[in-house]
Amino acid sequence: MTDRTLLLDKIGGAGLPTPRVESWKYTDLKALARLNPILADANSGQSITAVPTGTLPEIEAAQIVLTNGELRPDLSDLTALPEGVTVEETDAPAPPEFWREDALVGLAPGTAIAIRVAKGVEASKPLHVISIASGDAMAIRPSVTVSLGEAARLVLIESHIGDGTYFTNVTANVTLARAAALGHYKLQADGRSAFHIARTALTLGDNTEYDGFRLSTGGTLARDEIRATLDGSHIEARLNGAYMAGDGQHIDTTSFIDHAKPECRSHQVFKGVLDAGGRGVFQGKVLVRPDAQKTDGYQMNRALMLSPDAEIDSKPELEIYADDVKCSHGATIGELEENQLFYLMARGIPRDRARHLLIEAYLADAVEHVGHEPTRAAFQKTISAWLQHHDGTPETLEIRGART
Amino acid sequence: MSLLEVRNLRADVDGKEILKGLDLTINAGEVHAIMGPNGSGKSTLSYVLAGRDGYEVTGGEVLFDGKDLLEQAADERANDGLFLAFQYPVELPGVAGMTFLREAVNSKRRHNGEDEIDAMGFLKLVRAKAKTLGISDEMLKRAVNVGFSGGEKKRNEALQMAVLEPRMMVLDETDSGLDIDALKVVAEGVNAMRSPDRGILIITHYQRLLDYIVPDKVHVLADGQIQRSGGKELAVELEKKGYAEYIGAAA
Repeated sequence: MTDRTLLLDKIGGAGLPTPRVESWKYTDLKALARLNPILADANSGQSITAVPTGTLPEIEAAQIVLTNGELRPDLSDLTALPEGVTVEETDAPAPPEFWREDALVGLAPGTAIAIRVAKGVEASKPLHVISIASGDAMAIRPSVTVSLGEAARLVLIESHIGDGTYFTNVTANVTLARAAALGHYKLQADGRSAFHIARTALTLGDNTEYDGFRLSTGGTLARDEIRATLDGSHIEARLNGAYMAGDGQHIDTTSFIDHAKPECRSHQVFKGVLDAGGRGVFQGKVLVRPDAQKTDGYQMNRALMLSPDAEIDSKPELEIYADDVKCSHGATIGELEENQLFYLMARGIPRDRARHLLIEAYLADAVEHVGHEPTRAAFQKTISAWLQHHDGTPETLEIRGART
Repeated sequence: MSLLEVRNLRADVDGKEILKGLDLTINAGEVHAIMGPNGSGKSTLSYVLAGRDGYEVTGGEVLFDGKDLLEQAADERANDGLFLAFQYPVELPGVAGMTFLREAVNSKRRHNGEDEIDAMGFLKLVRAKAKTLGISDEMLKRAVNVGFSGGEKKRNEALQMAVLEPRMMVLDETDSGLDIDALKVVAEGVNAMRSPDRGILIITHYQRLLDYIVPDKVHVLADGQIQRSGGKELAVELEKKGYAEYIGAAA
């Protein structure tokens, strides 16, 4: 028998964060503690023999595939990477200071997939990191570090899919050197019974540009936490996203933008669609430190409630210590408008289809922020497919060879 | 058989009776106008015919081509060929004009058991109809009615009518918010739709629109009932004398 470590034993000490911790007030991990999954061993993903199609965004890219958290060179395009881009397994970096106390961060494995783009290189095609999970009562730990050298440019797509009652504990560390530019687009489409808890740390240098978008549709409990440190001047950071939660889904987005230096701009627009039995959480904080004069910060969370049995908890926060800044934030909650539905129906469009059109239109306003056109189109398709499956039979993911 | 037959129709809005036994028969090929003072039930009639929620029919019946109209949902009525041109066309942020039209056309085709329209054929069809109404490609790409002027919104309604080719058109206060030039364009659009197998019902407060779309019959609606019916000369009389005698009669 191999070593079968349970999640709670591995974490030890105080255990998982509880709602008594302020940043976990709205997201309760009791169900994860009950599941108490076993840490997946190194070969558990070998049974996955192909990359499933359908759920993944169709984008022309070099693929880097992880199964149950482990790099799979046989399913990846490691020999066909764009020039100046390297991918290798390395020792995982130490967790950033602000997450040292977090038990789940400590869970990250000893190694990480390191993606590097050399100084001055503009990657000729996107990279698509695909994390595939399959299994029950199992914890996987995909970990990726991304570093762009000075003036390097890359489009990175990060997709999460799977099948089963697994827990994926995702760690991503992104560092942009001076004048680098990254388009970073994440699709979280994990299985409907899965737990997805992700932390993304962004460290952005002078004159960098970060165009981020996160689309979350999967999991029974998902938390996507982003911490951006704007550690330079003249940074442009766009961190936008959309989330959709149906019955039995809890989707949490927690962001923290740390403006440490002057003359940077951060822009966040998140839009959520919540159906009966679905719950969304948005916690967004923008911190402007005393040195960060001329900061331009914008943050908005909008939620569309499709049912009185949906829930959204929205907590926008601004903390400003500089006196010459332009910052605003807000949150709105709305419903589909009856007069719009009637107008569509009066033109022959059946009620369900009319609802889909209005929801798609609502989310299109967020998705249009995706700077990379092929990804924008692919995400738009993901949303349409979600809406279609959402009212009919839920999509089941066929993972070849994975389960018997 | 008449195209639209309204018999002793009664309807409530928020528990208040608005239509109090309305009778109306429209044959294919005819253009009828219903005129009436504010609060007489004009808009209620148009919404009841189109199937809007919140308008409760308490009595009577409506037959459209012999079928019970009131049994059907709004989308089924539309796909059977009933078209309501809105007094206040609704803005649909994020829904492009072309997408909206294609969805509407394909809904009708599916309803009739036909295949979806091919993209090129559809584009050609819409462009040809849009041109006669002075609607640019740019306007078709924009979100439906968002930021449109009053005239643009009504021309857009006329375009939907032209593309969907309904058998029965109900025009609710189509003249409201239109200057004279826009009124002429829209009226020409409606006149182009006149045909022996199509019925048109114009609902209006003023006679002005009827100078451009000349009706075969004119009805006066007051206090939820048709008070009087006549030819097109009745509209001219109403414009001169106003509705005072009907409001008096109703009170």
